[in-house]
Amino acid sequence: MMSDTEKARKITYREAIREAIRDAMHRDDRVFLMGEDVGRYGGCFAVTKGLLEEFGRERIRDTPLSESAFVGAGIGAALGGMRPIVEIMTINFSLLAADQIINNAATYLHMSGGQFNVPLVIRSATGGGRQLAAQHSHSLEGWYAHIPGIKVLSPATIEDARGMLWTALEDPDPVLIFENTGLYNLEGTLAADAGAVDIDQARIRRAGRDITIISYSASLHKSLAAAELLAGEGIEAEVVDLRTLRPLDEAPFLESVAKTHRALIVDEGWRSGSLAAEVSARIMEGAFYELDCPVARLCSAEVPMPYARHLEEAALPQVEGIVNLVRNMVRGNG
Amino acid sequence: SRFYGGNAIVGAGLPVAAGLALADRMRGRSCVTCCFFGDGAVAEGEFHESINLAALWQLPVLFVCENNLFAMGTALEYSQAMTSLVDKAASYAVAAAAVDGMDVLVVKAAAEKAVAAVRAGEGPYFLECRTYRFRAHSMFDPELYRSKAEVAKWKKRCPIASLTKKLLSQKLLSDADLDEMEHQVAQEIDAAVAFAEAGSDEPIEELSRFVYSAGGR
Repeated sequence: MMSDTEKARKITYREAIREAIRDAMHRDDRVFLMGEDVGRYGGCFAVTKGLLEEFGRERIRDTPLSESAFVGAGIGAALGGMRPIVEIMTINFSLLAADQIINNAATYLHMSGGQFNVPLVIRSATGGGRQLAAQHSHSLEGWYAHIPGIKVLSPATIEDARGMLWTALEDPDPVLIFENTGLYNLEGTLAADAGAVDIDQARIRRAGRDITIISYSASLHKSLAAAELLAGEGIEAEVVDLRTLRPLDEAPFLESVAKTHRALIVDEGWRSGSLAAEVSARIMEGAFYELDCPVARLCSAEVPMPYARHLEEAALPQVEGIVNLVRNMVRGNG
Repeated sequence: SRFYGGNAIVGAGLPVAAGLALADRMRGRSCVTCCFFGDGAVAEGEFHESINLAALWQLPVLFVCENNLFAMGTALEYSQAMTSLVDKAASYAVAAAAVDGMDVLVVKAAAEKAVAAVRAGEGPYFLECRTYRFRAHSMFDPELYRSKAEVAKWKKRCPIASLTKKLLSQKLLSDADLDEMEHQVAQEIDAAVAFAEAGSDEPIEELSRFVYSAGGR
């Protein structure tokens, strides 16, 4: 008999998400997908290609460019007993539906004294690195992580791209899943029987003793690449993947910092008021006396995302920047 | 409960209503979703987005606009270039009607016709009820934006007083019936107030209850 690893197949992050949507549609007839260009076009990032042909127009719904209406309709459909997956093409466009997400989805349960929960899943593309410039490339998921009443997921791996959706659909409350555009072409292997994964725990993606690098989404892969380079210099970095930005699972990174005594947070969001700031504050509150040097953050430059490739690369956290920071923290005055 | 609450964000209930209707249609239920809002909501993008979506997908929603001529303190004529709300709705290929919102029987007849059309699967329906707000927007509103004479003029057309007068004149209602109804309503309100005042405040320990569902994370 073959092991799961032997049966594992090559798959992209994009295909893993598509497989998760297909699986959910087959498992539960209350699940349907709606959003801009999800049907005939096949999805702006080709995630939903082929789904219209397979499931038909009732369950794969192309919407007008009306983010507020179709996100609100997702809320209504969820209240009406459906399990909608609403796709918002990019996180920048989610601002056009911020009213429905923040004022409605996040508050219904509380304002109704527990009468109405909203089992809605919103998927949206986030992140830079594809030369889509200042209105298609920002990482605003940290903002959503500020809002009580919703959950915010950030799948960085193939396994999470495949497994988070079903768990999110089973959740009684609204869940936002942010897929990084830079990861759609990421290739990896997935066990033949891969399925649902938890959506409430951070994970150690690489063990190490000298420093804890805390990251999520596309920055996780940069952090892992940096850790690989640093290992060549004898620096062993432990890399934590937050996975869920709200509620934040702080125990794994606090325990890690207690072991390594150094922490660097890599976050594609802007530094001021960022998720990185929140993680840093949690470390101050929960592991301050474990620290051998100040917590450091590597975030995006505080500029609207430039179009030009070299400028965009300069604006985003990069492997070299992580390596340099870690080297200074471990070997320097830290 | 079939009542999904009000919304303090003007217009934000319309997309939710479209979604409730979508769920009914997808589950094969013959329900009609009825969504109430004021003339102020018609200025919001969510009105236009929702009515288009409902028309596009032929959703069973009855949109009821209570056009009382004021969005808080701004009169319709100061906020809309095109003040015919029924024409705006009709432009989305939605069946639309405007009626005298001060006449209870006219509103009843129009609502029955609208609900029947929606229930028959003819898609969404927009019903504009032209009315007036007698009282201030809130306790903090000194009503500087309209004259007392204007309010007094509209009060003469009070829908409850008009209907009462009509029923009395047609001997469909006696003075005794009227007294009894008013007494019953007053009793119901008194009982509700007494119930609320006899209740205890929510415990502080329950502050974060219902932020997430029980059993949710």
